[in-house]
Amino acid sequence: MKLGRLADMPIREKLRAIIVIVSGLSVLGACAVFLTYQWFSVRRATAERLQIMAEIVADQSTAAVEFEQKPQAEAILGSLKAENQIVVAAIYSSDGGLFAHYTREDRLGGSDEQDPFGHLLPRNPGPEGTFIRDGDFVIVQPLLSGQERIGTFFLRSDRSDAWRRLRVNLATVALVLLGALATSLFLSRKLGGLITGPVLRLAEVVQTVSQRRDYAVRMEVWSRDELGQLIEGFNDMLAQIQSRDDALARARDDLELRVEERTRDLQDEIRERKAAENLLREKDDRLVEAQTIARLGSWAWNPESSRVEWFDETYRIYGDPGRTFGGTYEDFLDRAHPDDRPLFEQALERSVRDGVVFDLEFRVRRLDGQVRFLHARGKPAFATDGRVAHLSGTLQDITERKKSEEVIQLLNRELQSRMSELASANKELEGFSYSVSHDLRAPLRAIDGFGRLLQEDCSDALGEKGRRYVDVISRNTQKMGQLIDDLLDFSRMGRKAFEASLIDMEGLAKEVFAEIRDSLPGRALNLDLGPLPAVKGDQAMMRQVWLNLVSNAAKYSRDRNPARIEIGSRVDKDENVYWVRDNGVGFEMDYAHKLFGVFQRLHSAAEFEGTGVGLALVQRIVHRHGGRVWGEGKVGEGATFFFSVPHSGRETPTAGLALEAIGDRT
Amino acid sequence: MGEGKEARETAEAVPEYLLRAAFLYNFAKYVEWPPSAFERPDYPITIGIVGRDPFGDDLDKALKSKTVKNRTFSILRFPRASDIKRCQVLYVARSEVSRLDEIFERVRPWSVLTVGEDEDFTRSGGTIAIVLENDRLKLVINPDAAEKSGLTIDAKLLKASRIVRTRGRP
Repeated sequence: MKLGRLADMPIREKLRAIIVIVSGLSVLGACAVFLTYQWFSVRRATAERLQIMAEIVADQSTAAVEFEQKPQAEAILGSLKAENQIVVAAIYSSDGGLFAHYTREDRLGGSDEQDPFGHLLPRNPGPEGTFIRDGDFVIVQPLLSGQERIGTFFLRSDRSDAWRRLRVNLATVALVLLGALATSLFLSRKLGGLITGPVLRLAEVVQTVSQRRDYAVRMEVWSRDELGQLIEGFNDMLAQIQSRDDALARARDDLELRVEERTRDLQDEIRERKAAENLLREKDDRLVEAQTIARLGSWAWNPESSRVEWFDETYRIYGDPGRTFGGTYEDFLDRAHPDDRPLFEQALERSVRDGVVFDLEFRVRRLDGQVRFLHARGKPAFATDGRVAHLSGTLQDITERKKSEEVIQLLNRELQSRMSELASANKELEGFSYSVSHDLRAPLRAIDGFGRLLQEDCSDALGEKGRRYVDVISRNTQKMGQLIDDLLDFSRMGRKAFEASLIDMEGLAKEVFAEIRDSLPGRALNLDLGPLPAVKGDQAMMRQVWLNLVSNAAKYSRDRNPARIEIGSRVDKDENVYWVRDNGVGFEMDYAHKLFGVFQRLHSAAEFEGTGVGLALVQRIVHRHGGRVWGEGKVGEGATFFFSVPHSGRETPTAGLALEAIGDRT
Repeated sequence: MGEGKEARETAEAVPEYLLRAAFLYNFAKYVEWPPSAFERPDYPITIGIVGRDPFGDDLDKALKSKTVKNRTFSILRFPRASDIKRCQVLYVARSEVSRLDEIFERVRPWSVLTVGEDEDFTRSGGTIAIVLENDRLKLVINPDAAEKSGLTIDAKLLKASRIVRTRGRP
């Protein structure tokens, strides 16, 4: 058993040690008590016995002493031989001298015999009583005869008996102790198990539980003593731990989940915040940039302290690169143009008084003498008591703008007058062309009619040459008629009302193509028609557009066999773009700008008949829809004519007119 | 044992008859007389001396104002056997050695302790004899005689003495 810290001894050993020690100590204690008691008891008994013996013997010897019969006295003393512890017994006469004595056999001889006053027999008996002298009992008694003292009895006894008895007792005690220890050891081993058994088992279980962290373990309770209670309590505790453990595990999982969520949220938050910060910074930078670009300065006025602050651009605006501005309200007013000063001051005061926004355009006289127009805006900031704490805002040099405004106004006025001029001119023109064409038709009809009459009625008289001449006249007349019709149409188109509806462009194009194909029976015309989105516009006008474009396409691809006509479209953000493409003769792009002018023709009448009004009409109509027309072509490789129609599909006469006017001018 | 020498010195220092007188005194301690021995309870112990008084005034000295069992002593002297009156102790002087029977006869009705000086005394029927042997006084007691006299002698005294029997008796 290692003697380490006593407290760390295993329970079994402890228990055993306790039992052994306790029983050992008890036995030892009992034995010690017993021995001590024995010792003293024996001593007392011995003393008593010796005293009695002394008394008896002394009494017996009185006669011998009184009659000075020494031998008899010694014989009587000799009877003390029976008590072999008695070493020496003596009678001293009344004068203190030794009268008679007995000495134990083993002390006889040697100096004792010769010299009675050796250590055994004193010269004088000494004081009366019972003493222990040098480990021996010494009894000194008076020898009385009646009341008379006739001498002193002296007795000395060793305690060999006592010592022997003590030795025996000690041996017994030792044996008893051994026996007790052995018994207790044995019993403790057997019975200790009652206690240590369950305790050790419990300890094992506890170890297991704590090592494996398995809180589902339970110990069986087989006794109702404190151990049983302990075990029950232990089981209880385990159950609690188990449930708490489970709860903890759940909570932990829950927590982990939440932490994850939270982390994600946080990360998102951080990202957002960063983005927001960036945005803010960007915005800020942009603001400063914008201000600088926009030449916007800032200022702030504290009415209480009368201090005015200027920032960067404001100095530039005031033409004060040296920053000589004093920063007081008076300085601020001073810088304004004397004529505008009262207005300026008024506006500022009103803003502070009424808490309204300050917004004023005023003039300043810069240090260099220049007069500039400024636009200042200021917003009031309110203190807790509702007063205006300070006014702060922006400042901008609007001199250029003012100038531009004036110019614009001027131009506007001019424009308006021009526009009205134009409108009236147009009206005149329209009326003119209408009446002209109308008036022109009449004689034309006559010419055409009489020409035919001539052919019918006077064909013989005319002769071959004459008939040819009349033919030419007829043809030309018809051409002119056509021209006039076209002009009429053209002008009519300008006056006609705009009727908006949703137009099925695809259907319309198909119809128009069919019509044209039918009118040209000898020609091979292929149509490649892509999907055309519907659009809002004037159905009749749009029909005209398709008619003109497709007939043009057919016309100029007369030499192709087959003539391929492609009609397509695309949808742009604000408008639909349609086109008609042919594989005809094409045109020189250099002259594209002339395409849509009235009477503008890029090919001679000999090559291709036509009045040159068709495209102009198309342009007019498309312009009225608010769209544009343009063309692309390559000589010998065909042409494509585009027109766009805005989604809004509203009539835009003014724009159209203006565009036209500009177009005419170029 | 050197005490012998001392004892001898003591013996020599003390006169013989003073010692004998002391013995007589002591006898009273160790002898019991029957109540009839005394006429009255307060009567003293009478010690008689018959024959030529060897004590002188030693006996008187020895017994002066002494009591034993609350009795004092008185001394009577009897010149002749016929003079013997009632007493408790009778000391027979050497001069009367030849008249022992007469003396014993005389004291027979009384319980008297007869004391002699030689062993023969006791063999003849005396109770105690104080004998001088080797310069020492020895005691010889005849218990039968004591018994005959109705006396009880303490065993201690017997123990301190030599015991003899009456001559002729078993």
